[in-house]
Amino acid sequence: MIVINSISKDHTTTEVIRWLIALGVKDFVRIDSDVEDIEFVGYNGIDSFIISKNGIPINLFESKSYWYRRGGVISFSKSKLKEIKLSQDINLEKKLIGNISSENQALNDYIKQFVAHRSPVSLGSYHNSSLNKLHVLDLARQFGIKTPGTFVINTKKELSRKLVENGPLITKAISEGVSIYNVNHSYYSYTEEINESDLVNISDVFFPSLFQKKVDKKFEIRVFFLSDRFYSMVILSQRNKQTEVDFRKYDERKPNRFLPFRLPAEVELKLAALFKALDLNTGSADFVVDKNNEYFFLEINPVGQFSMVSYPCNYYLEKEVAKFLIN
Amino acid sequence: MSSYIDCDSYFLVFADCIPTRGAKNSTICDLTRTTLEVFPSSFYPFFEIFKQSTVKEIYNDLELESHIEFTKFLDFLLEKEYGMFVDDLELFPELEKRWESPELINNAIVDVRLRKHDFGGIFDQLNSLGCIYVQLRCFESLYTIKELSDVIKLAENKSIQSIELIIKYHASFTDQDYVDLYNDHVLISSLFVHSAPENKVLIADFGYKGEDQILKQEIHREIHFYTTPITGASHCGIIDAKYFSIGDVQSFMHNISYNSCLNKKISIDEEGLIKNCPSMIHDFGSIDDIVLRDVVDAESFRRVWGINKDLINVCQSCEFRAVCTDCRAYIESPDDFLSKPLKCGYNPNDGTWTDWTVGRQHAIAHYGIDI
Repeated sequence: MIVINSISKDHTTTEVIRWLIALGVKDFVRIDSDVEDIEFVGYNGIDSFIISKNGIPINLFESKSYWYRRGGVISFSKSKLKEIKLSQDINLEKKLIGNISSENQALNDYIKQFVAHRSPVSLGSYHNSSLNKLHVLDLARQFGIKTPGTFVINTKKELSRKLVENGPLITKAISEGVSIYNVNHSYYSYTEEINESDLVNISDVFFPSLFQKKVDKKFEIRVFFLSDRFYSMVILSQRNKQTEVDFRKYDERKPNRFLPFRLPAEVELKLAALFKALDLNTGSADFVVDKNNEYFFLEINPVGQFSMVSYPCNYYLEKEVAKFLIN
Repeated sequence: MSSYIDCDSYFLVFADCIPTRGAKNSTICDLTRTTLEVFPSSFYPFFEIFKQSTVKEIYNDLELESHIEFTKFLDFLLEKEYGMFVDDLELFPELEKRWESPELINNAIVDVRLRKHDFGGIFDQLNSLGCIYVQLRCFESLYTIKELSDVIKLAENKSIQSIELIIKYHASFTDQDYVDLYNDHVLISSLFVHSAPENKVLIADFGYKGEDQILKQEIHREIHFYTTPITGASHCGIIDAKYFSIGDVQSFMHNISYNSCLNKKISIDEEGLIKNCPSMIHDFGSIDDIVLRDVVDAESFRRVWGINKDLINVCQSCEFRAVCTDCRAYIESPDDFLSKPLKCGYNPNDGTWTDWTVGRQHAIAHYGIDI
């Protein structure tokens, strides 16, 4: 049996499953953390660890292959918990709900750990699904990978000094960027360039924010890592002012080119070591290459959308992932 | 005139800009910007030379009188942004010429005139083949809007992800009926109404009344009404520059590797006969007697899937073959399976388009096509 953790709207998961079926796999289960069709049934510690999907029991001991694609915590017994009043005291009630939530979280963590260890083939990692950007940059440098000068700043004075020392900077979220919307508007945070001219709009003290020296970019590289192979793509966006800092700001008239790329072997070796140190056997890495052909590592996303590499480069990564899971 | 004669770099043609050699003219297809440009075939060999030699070396190997022409060609490639100068070609591999898909059947056409098909059974069978897209063409107003709605419901919760619906206008239905039909079914990807009293467009918004322009664009769908009637399957198969398909990498690779119109397609014509395409004469039995799976398993059914343009006479030397859909239902010499499409008026040997009907009375009569 192949067990896949994902979320219901993830198109990549659907594509990989289509390949699994085409390659003759009949026994697989997709667990979407955002759909309430999974329930806990029982674990005996010996040979039976049963959850159910739509009432059909699944024994996780039978998992031969596991893919943690993405997704968070499954809320077990959600509907039942709603019916029960835990305490008349509102404060106690809140704390008890917190306790149950922790119990649920720990059980979830264990299920994913259990399946990952139990399965001879395991791809992706739940406990490493959210990396700390700053920590990963430190590690990368330890492996000899170049990174742009990185600072966390919370005063205009210091920001101003860094701008003088380094020239233009970029800023982005330390964790995940903003992606929120209501009925009338959608908001999305990009990587933005910061210049001295921006200082007038910045208050004297602000929340500690991540800044990096802006690399004089020749092009951007997106790398998908699967087991021991790299599938790289170059993004040519320099001709566009609009996409110069963040290629996701799409220009309809002059779309960026997304082309197959061969990462130099030396960069691949160091990056492989970084993935290993992070205990990840898959993920997406971002680089920028400057005018002197230096490769600057930006970040690793363990649950990145590799279809955005797969389609333009004609790599059939969804099929490669399916083949990995079958072996 | 500026020259690149001292350039020690290589000229990289971007992997998504793919040249195709034709008899007189050649083309370069830009898959990212979805454009196609024509140039004389005498320049085509440079695409191979670019992979071996630096720009300077190319100039040195050329006769002096060819320098200006070569410079002009480089100007053309740079102006169109088909490439750039690089020091290391190795970093930029070409796109692999490969196309695969996991499903056995990708799309199906079901025609309706006077016979009511067993749509429940058809959709079940298409589901077991992994079919993703369905086109439902109604030449006559056999179904009411309510009945159409019921038919579409039968395709829900299956492999089918979208249905293109082509129906005949009927005065008893209001604009709101058409909009409601669209709004009620996320499966309907597009809705065309033929034989309408006027050409017009209605908007279906799926109930979204917000102001977010991006969401609006995502959600809003147009229902197109055309006065032109669609009376049958014989209208299809016209080869014209306006039908060239310049899409993404996958559709390009599909089109050069297979007959992209027929590959992984199955059709049920208005009589219930199973065919590669409803326009074809040959059928593989009636849907009443044989299951689709058995038809798909037959080598004879899948034979046309692999006929790419490299195999077809004339087309194999046409510069448009990478973006042309071809048509195997109507061909110039009905007895010669590999003859060019009947409804194509292009001659790649002299690069001209002429009226395809001229001099083809025999084939036109053979297929019973109304001109």
